[in-house]
Amino acid sequence: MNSRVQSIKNIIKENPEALLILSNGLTSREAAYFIPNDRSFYMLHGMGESLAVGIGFAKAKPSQLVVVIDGDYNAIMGLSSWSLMPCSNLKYYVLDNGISETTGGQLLPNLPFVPEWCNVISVEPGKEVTPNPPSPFETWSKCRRWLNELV
Amino acid sequence: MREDAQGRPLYDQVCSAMDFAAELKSHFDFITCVPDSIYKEVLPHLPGWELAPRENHAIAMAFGARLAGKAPVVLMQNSGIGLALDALFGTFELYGQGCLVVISNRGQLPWEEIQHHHWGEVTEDILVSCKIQVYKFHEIGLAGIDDIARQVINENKVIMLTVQRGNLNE
Repeated sequence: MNSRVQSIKNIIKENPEALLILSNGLTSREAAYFIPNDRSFYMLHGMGESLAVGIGFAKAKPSQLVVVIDGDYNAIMGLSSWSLMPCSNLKYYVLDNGISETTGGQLLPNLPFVPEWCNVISVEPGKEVTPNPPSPFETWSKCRRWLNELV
Repeated sequence: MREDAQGRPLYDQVCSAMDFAAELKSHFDFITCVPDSIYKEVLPHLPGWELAPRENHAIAMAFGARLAGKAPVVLMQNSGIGLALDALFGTFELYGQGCLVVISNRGQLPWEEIQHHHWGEVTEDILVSCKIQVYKFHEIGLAGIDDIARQVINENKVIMLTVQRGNLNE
């Protein structure tokens, strides 16, 4: 079983052409600190909304692959957005450590089902000490610039 | 105020649902909605609109579309405001991006079902207390949407537009 950071590194490496949407909390914090890049959109808030953001992007720009990396609690909160999946240009990953790490390690319920389009990756509990991700303006600007350079 | 076919009071019609849809389409190119009966005759004139399972997800989908370069509009009922606000604050407001949210203001008429009444009483107060810029469709009319679209798209503002029961044909 890998750490959260290593798991995110693997996903980024496996999807070199994709825009990445990373859920708020440790997923965005650790990715922004250890694997910074311009094609990662770091959610700072909006628990449970990462997949819906990715779906909106995927529907609005069908030619672009988008990868959503969710924490397991974010995934549980966003379950009703699963009703809009699958999307042909969206890949969905859930980093599952079974707990709500940032709020004290409370145990989480399991996902009630795992469709074939949902890639659940077990990760080790534990977290790195990391700052808040870059400012919303910086994240937005870098991603938009990266998208514009693709055209 | 006018009356419907059953003699119940309705707010005055501002324009047809078809014209309302056409005005939205002329400014916005990503439309998502949690349907409400007030939009029953609007949605058929918005081909390609995306159904959202919940209002918070409608906001998030619109935000993703904005990241993709689209000009988004979200349609929902006032009862969805509670779900939508955190998503709105955590996306459009936080990242300084523009969106139009059309809110059907249910529960203002005495004959509407009791479950809508409290929302009808508090909707405007909630939006004002959240410091959201609100326009009333019955005050600005169809012509006012052009200025709203300019603010949303060019000035990246989050704007809510309330629509009363009767403002559009159902």
